[in-house]
Amino acid sequence: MTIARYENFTINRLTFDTDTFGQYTTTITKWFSTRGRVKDVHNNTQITKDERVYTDLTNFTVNYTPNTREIVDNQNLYSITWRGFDWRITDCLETNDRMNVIFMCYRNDPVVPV
Amino acid sequence: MPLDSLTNGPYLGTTRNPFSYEKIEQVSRDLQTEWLTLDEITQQLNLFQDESQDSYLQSLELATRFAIEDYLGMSIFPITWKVYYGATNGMTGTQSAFDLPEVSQANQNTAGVVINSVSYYSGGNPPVLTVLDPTLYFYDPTGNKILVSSIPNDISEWMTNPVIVTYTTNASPIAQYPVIKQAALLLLTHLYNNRSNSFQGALNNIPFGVDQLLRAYKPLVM
Repeated sequence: MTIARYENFTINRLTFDTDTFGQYTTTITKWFSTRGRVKDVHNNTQITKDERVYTDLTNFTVNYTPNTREIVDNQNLYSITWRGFDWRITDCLETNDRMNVIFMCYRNDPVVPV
Repeated sequence: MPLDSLTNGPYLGTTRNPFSYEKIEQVSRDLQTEWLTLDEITQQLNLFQDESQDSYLQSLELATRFAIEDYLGMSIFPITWKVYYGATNGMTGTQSAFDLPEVSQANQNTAGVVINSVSYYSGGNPPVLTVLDPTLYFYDPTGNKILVSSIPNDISEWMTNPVIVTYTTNASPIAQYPVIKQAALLLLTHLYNNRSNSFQGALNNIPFGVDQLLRAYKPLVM
């Protein structure tokens, strides 16, 4: 048996607003820290005519609790901070035995000119 | 060899085998105090600051503590018991020994138990429960028994078990041993992960699990 890859990360609340210039703003506020299994990060690059777009994808597996259920129900309102980066939730999978929740998350690196 | 004294004075001062009590009842147990802290539990379950299941975890903690206490036959927090003894011919007017069904050891010159009361049913119809003066008995921690200098001769002849002892076991110091707590955390994780009594397929114990951690601390109980 190897050691399962559990890592610490933070669950954040997202609040959305509009600033005085009419631009949309997102405020990230820490909700709680937790620990879960993190899958290998899938790093993807798309190259267009002008720029390179880096996208990272990974899965976070956490225990099924009232808090994680709330995230499943409102996944647009939460994000995950792991290794200093903010990951947005694209998919939530509740396991059938209601013991785990899997969050599929992505993040974009800054767009780089080709 | 312990003296088998079933027929030869079951309440004399020697070591008795079997012990002289007839039945025991648990009458009080701590249902409140936290043994494993929520911090220890949430670390173990990888929940950390996710506090949304705290009350559920506390109920699991209680069940785990009870299971460990019952497995070891020791109290992590004080437990009060009531023990019943039968009456025999020749019991009155002489010194009698009443075994307690507990195995706690004296810890730092403190006995493992507190004797709350020794009482007996006196004869009459109906019988009356009478509490013995504490000066008439003492606890012998070397033999886990109470020595009563003299049982009054008005003890009921008709009741099955006219002598009743109430005692409280003190918290055992081994409750704070990391190995005991680790066993408890393993058991708690099992209860957290398996919430049904049935399962498709056989569950197997992990090697070096709860039994392994607790075995050295489990006294041989007759």
